[in-house]
Amino acid sequence: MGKKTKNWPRLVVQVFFFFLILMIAVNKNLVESGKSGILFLSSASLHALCPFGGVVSIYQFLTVGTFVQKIHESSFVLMFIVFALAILFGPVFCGWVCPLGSFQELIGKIGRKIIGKKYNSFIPYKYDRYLRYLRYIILLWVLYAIGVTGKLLFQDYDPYYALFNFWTSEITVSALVILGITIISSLFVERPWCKYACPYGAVLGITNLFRIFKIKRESSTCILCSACDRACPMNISISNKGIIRNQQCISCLKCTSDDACPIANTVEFTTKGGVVL
Amino acid sequence: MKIKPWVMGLVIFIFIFGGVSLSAAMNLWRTTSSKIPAKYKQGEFAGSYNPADIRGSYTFGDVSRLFIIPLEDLGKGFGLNDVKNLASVQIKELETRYENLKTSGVEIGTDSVRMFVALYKGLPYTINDSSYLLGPAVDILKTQGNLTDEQSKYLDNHLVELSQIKTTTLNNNTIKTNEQEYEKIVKGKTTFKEVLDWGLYKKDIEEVLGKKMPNPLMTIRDFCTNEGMEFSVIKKALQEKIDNLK
Repeated sequence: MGKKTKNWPRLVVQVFFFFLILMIAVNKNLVESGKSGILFLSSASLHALCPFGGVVSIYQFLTVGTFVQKIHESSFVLMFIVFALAILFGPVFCGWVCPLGSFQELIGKIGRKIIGKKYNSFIPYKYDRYLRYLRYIILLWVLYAIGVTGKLLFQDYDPYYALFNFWTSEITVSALVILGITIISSLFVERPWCKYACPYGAVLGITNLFRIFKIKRESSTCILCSACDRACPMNISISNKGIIRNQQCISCLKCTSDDACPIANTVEFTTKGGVVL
Repeated sequence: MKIKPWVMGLVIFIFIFGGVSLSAAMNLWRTTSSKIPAKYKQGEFAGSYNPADIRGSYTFGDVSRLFIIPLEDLGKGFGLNDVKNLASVQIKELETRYENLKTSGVEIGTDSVRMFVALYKGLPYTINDSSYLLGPAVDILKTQGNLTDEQSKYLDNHLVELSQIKTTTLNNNTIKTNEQEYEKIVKGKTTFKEVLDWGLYKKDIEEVLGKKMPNPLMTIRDFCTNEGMEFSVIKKALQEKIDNLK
């Protein structure tokens, strides 16, 4: 049996980015209301710090040379950084950085305590497998609607923006309702927004098909205990695969031998070689 | 090569903060608008500011200065004659002022200013079908004489008469609504939207017109003129239906 080390670095990164974004959102409101903001902290709008803003601006930038309403150069910079991370490691942004993902996980921990073993297995596979493609339909709608209007229409439905701005008048009822649905469903299903609706997760999920570092299972040492399957927040079946290329993987590393897998060097985040970094 | 969780965490910090620092060093990291719009890259107007890049955070003073448009025309065009210190009012505040229009799917906001500036200066601009202007703005543009026939026709079908809308004033961040009492009488300036607001259904209106109802913000008289119909006949028929609602 390998020595078990829980994935505490991910928790550190998640907590850091959650509070960073929260403090920036608060700081922006302080500055806008004429109060002195928090020293050394940005007071940028969350739109300016959202890499998905860069994605939805690509069409307008290429055709007109401008950004979509409320989006700035910083969104483009972050988009390139996150794409670079995703090409190397898959959607680590979703699994490690996205504050809405972390928030859903937090709610999910409460749900798991209340519901127990049934948690995260409410939706039958025969429906779930199709519902997982819903986020691509949402992505197409968002890209089309923003491409046609040049306006950040998704803000009206975005639970991420609502979560960090719910106290402002900028938030629409529809965004609050979707945030509410996300919170409630997080009590039953792990990361429901990520699984079924997140358009940015849909974009980044594609990189799972060709990312450089992959989740690999060594079948010669695997004892088929399915601990990796049970640990996966996205319900991906790992124990019957060699390499995980599922578009839903968020590279959280929960399934690996550094976390859930009880056997050392069996489920690893790796390239072809085996040098440990 | 295998990646351990702590290395992954470190790599994420390095990529994000390293990337942001690098872009800042290269002067690419901007989280707010520079208040300098992008310029046309090619064609007759290459080097001129592109109104399509006007942001909601720009003030009317910025727009006036950048595009050399008298502040008075901007104020008149967007119904802001009652606003003190117009130069410091941000474009995005128009959305608050004309928020009542949103229920009918019409928005007077940043897009309207972009369109107004482009048409005022005769600059190339792709008009969005959901862009509207106030009546005074259309009058100013027609006086300027830079409009093509197509643009002029578009504006006739995408204008909102200032006298027919409720506005929300912008003074000192307090919102006061100018409620206007309307008599339910069809007049020359009555729009289809008003008739709908008075309680008539779209199908009732279309029954009278014998055609599909146009954009709700179009005046009934303009519709009749365009379609070669007798306004007095349509007006009478609609008025009867409205009176029957009481």
